Amino acid sequence: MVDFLLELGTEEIPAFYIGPACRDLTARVEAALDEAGLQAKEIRTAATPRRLTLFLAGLPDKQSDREEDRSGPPEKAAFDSDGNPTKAAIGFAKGQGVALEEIEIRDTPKGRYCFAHVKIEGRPTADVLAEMLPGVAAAIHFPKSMRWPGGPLVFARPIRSIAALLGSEVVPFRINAVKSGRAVHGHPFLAPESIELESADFDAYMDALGERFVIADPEKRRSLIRAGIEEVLKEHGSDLKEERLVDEVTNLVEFPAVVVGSFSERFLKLPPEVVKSAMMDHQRYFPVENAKGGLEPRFITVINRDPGRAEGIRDGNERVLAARLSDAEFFLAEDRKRKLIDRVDDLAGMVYQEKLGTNFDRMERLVKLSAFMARAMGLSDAEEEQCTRTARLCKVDLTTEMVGEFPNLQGIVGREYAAMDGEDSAVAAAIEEHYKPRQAGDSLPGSKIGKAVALAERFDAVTGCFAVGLVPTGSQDPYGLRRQALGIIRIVLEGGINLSLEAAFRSAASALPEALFEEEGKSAKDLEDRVLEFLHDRLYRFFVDKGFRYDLVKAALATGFDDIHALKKRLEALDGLAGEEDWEELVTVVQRTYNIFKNAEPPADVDPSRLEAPEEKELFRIFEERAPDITSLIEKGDFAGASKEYARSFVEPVHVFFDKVFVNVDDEGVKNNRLALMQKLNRLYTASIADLSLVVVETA
Amino acid sequence: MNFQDIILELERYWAGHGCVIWQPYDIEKGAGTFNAATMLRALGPEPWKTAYVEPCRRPADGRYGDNPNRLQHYYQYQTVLKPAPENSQEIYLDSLRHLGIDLVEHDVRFVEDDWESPTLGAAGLGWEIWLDGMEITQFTYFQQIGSIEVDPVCLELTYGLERIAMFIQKKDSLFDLQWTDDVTYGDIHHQDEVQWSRYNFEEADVAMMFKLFDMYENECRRMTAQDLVIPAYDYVLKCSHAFNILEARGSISIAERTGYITRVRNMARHCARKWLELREELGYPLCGNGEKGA
Repeated sequence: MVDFLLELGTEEIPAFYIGPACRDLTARVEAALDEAGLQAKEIRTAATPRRLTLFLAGLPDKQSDREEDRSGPPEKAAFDSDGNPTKAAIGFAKGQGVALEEIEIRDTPKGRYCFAHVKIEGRPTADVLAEMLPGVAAAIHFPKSMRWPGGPLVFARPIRSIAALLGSEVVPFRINAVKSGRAVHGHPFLAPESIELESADFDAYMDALGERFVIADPEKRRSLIRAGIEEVLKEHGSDLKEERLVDEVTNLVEFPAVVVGSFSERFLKLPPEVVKSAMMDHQRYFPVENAKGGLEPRFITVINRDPGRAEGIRDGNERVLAARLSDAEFFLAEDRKRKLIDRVDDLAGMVYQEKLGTNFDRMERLVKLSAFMARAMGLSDAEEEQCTRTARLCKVDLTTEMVGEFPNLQGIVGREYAAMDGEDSAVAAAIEEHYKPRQAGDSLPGSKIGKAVALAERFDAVTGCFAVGLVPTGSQDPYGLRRQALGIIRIVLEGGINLSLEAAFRSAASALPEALFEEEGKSAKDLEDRVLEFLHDRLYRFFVDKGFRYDLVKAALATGFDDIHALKKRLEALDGLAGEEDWEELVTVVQRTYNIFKNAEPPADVDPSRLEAPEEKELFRIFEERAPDITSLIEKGDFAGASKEYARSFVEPVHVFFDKVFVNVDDEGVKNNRLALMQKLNRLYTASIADLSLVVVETA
Repeated sequence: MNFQDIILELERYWAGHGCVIWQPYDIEKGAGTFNAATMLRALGPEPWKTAYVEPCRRPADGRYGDNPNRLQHYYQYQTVLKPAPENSQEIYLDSLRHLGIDLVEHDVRFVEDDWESPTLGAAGLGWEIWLDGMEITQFTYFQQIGSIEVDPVCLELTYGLERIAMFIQKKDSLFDLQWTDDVTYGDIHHQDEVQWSRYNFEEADVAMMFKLFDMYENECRRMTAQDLVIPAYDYVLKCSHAFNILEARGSISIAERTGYITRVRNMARHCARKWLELREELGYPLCGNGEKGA
């Protein structure tokens, strides 16, 4: 048994690459060793921006020896009629490293063949590792990799040192011009000299680095950083919220210390989101909030030095932040020279999309579409007015200096400026809200106005992009249309909004530039089909992700999805029924009736005078009798009740019908009348609840 | 340390490392990368080490001299080392030590930065160098220039001279920097900021700039066709600057923007190709200089 330690010493790897790279390295080494028949007892890793480390405990010293039977040429080719070996036999024996007389002849299903029994000696683990590691390192996946002088291998940033020890021996290999050895480096500024490792001892390695100001365990760095930040926040009565920033900062340093700095209170007059963005996005500082959620004129930075050096470092960081914030003050002052409403015309200078026009054109579409949404949602005239005002203003902040500097604050800057302009507070709030939900899991617009404009903006984006052919394909969705469609579904469903998707689509399409439809082969109908198909697919994904059976979702969608709430109710009914006793019978009725007429085109109505067999007369009688009750249950939205009533009414007589009545008789009139009856029965269910012919019934 | 001393010390430091101390190029440009000593010389197999001050113009960054942190005209110190040495980071950090910056007492960070110049068709990977939170240098391993792979990979260091001076002199305003003991940065450049900001944002003749852009582009094409790559490249710079002024004037829409950038990039690509052809024809004269290229 022997231990192995590998450290790839690099220049600073980007923070978010480090975790995945470490896992990738581990998995690839494990897989390669596994293939070589070598398994470690324990695997440990460590990582900093300047090193990726892998430790394998308890590897075998060498691969185990193996014995193998290898097949060769057929006997006929290997020996001549006198039983003397031919060239084929001699070559085979030589190739396998056995003596001629050791060749055995065995019967196989294909005839008699030569076999050689060979012993393969296991290779030393060191050799296997030396051969495998350059390829494994090269295969580690990074979002972006680079070349550097010295060789063809690419990596996130240059590899500058390799320590690779198996027991106390160096595993010799090269990556580009870098040779493996036993040297590792401490903190580049606090302990830059290198250390020679004696053996592959993980604890000794971590200790040696620890003494040299490198905390190589990311979890340990993270908890030190968290504890330091939480201590400061606690004094101000708030909690740590910025987990992603903690993750990033953990992998920006090797020896973290938490330092608190301050800035002038005058910057608290800036919108708090601006101050936070300057701190977090630009400087990787943590904001300090008080118990009420307000900002304190302080920030927390994590330095890559021992805390004893904090004084001078704090000073520099304070000056940098003050510079950024005074920039923001300058932008605010510039932007405030004109009200938002007076900047609307500036939108004409910004192209939204070549064929879809400028942001001014888009604003005009959003105004129309928001008015439509307001009416569809049954809002009052005053609320409709607020919707159109919001639509007019919601993109104007894109023309401001502040959004130019802080693009992630679009909507928020608009809200702040609208409030300063004295706009209606509902309008100001909706300007921000209309971007919601920004991503999966984000909250919805809180207000009705926000929801209406958010729907308008999403229907315009989806319809517009489809009209000009910017559609998502495979993993590509550059305009985020899938996210937009998901937004529509969530706002309608969770927001309790009754909206006809088709009507909303038509309203969006009618606002598009007419020229788009004048091009050959692009009709409004074609666009409608494609957009609705896209929404269909998104609804399918949405409900499947919610945990519904995929075949039930398909069945419910096939009946229709114009009203998403009704769709959901029908789906929930199916979901409940699918576990119950008469479910299979119900499905069978719908499937049997469907299968019989699916390739025919029967008339819409049954002609009672042409019904002949008593069983079909009886079935029709039951249909006439029961259909009104079933329909009324459907109209009440009691889809489960309707389904049960349907099953109760038809399971028995339908089976009797199929047993006794032959449908495809020569008499076309009789045949078509029977098919019409089947169709009517089928449609009674599938047109209003779900097309159960798409359902998979599990048979034991 | 005065502003000019910082420059002098950097010149001395890089001269000591075998760099050709180049001089600023006499055409407006947005960054030291545009200087032919970087943009063209970084291409091809010939070894090349150079360092120089580059005055840069970014018309849209003007703030009428009112903002203590932004200028439409500022100075970069540019260093190019091809091939990028194995101790690239260390050699750079030593230059900061040479300026008297204590790297134990101050926090130097290498913060991920995927540098890209769409106008030059140039891209590289490296970092922003932060000194106590302030970005003072861009450190880039060039991967591509003029849409051509850079081989061997070349190191570009772009120091923000004003930022470094603000750090060393502990000043809160660019204009308060001591250029010499008696003269401040503001004494020299404040009026430039006021006047150029007015020009760039309010007065520059838009129609003329559009026309100039077209004329420069034609001249660049004509010269590339004549194999006069060095004059041709000057017109790439002129186009780029005309574009920057038009952008500061707000005269280029987002849709048009991509089109103009593509035009400049195409010119840059032609020049890069022609330059490589020229060096090949000349037999890569610098390849015999003791160090091997590729």
